[in-house]
Amino acid sequence: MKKFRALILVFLIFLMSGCGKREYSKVEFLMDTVVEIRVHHKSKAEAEKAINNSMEEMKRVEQKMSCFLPGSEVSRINKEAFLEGKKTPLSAERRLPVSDELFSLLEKAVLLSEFTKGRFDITIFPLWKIWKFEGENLEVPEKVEIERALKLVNYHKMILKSDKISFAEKGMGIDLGGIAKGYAVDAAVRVLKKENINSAMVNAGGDIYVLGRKQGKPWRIGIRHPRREGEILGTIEVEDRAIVTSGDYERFFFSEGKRYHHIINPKTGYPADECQSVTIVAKETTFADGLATGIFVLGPSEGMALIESLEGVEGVIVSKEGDVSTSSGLVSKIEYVNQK
Amino acid sequence: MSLLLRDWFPRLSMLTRNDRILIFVLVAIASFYFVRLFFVSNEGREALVKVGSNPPQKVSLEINKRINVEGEKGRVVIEVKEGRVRVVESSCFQKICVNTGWINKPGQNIVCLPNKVLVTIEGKKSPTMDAVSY
Repeated sequence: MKKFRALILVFLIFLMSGCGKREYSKVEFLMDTVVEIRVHHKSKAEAEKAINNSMEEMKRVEQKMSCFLPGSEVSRINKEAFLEGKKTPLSAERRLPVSDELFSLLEKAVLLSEFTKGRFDITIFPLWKIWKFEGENLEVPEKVEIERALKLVNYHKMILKSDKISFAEKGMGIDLGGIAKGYAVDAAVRVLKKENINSAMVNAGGDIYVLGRKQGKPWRIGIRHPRREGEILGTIEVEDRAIVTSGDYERFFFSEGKRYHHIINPKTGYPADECQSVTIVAKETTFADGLATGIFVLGPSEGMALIESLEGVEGVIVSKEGDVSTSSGLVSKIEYVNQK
Repeated sequence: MSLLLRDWFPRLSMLTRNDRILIFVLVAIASFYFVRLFFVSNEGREALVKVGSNPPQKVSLEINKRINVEGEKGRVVIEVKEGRVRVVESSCFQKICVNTGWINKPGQNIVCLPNKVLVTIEGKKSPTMDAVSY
């Protein structure tokens, strides 16, 4: 036995050094973007099973939450949640039942609307429909069209009560585009945790959650520079956190020399123009996703005040002039590369 | 200056034969991995092309060629030339993939979302970052 003591010791050191954990990853096209899941784990079979299961979970969420898939629960709500000819849409039997999962997400969306004073609003669907950012003919809608749609955008007119939903006006609808990706990331992370994975990253087109640490160190996430493509504004070190950025550079088109991007202000009906980008770091991706959108519309000063008032939420805001502001809890964790 | 190992490590003689074998084996393993890591890497010499839900295909960047793939909306033409790769032609609407131009560094990618086509350069990603939020 004595002879092998050194050998056993070396073997133990080898195991403990973390060399036993390898990285496994998979990329899929989901939720209209590229989704990557990376896992650090000792067993290949377990890691691959966990990755596949969490991809499946994201597919399930997409099927349920998309307002563009005709069979989804959200599409059904948009079709049926206003009951025509009924004078009392508030009476319980006139409302449409919603699954527990979607109902709690809708409640979260309302909370985000409250926080952002209605700048994040899932009832934006009528506006989104006329701007047609999903389609191929990008043009600015007529002013009258926008005014008509604006009247239907107001989360107070979406009535949620005891697992049921109804809309107060005809033509209303919900679009979870502002939080569905974040929610899908959280759902994927829940599956990874259930599969005993403790070091992983789920990245749905830049909406990121990092689970645990990477080889004993925090993960390093870059924040895209809003005006220089392919360049980084700075990097942050994080663990067990969501990082989501909303920017005006993602989807846009030009019309008569003016640039129109995809983050529509639910109060004006036109693209929000106070910020270039907003990055939120939070415990939940769903929350970070909605906050990034809402704060982008809210603007730098009110936005930063909101970030500072929320526990466990940090952020970076780039104003329309290109000025960068960092929340107090992030100052020591962020390293700027190109601040101007 | 003495070149004898014994003069540098006076207690070396206390090592048994098995100790020496062990040290030799460890040094050999370490150097094998060291050499493999730094000299025989495939860094940036291969691209991965993923179409829809199919598993990604490896494409060598050493041989110039054109590859036609069938995307969701139609044909996408990928060109490999002198160690670089680009999308030359695509049936998509906005042509973001075509406008991305050439890529050749590990971690760089070209995405055509409408066609569900992804081209990435193989190799270790940027050592300073794990991902980018955008």
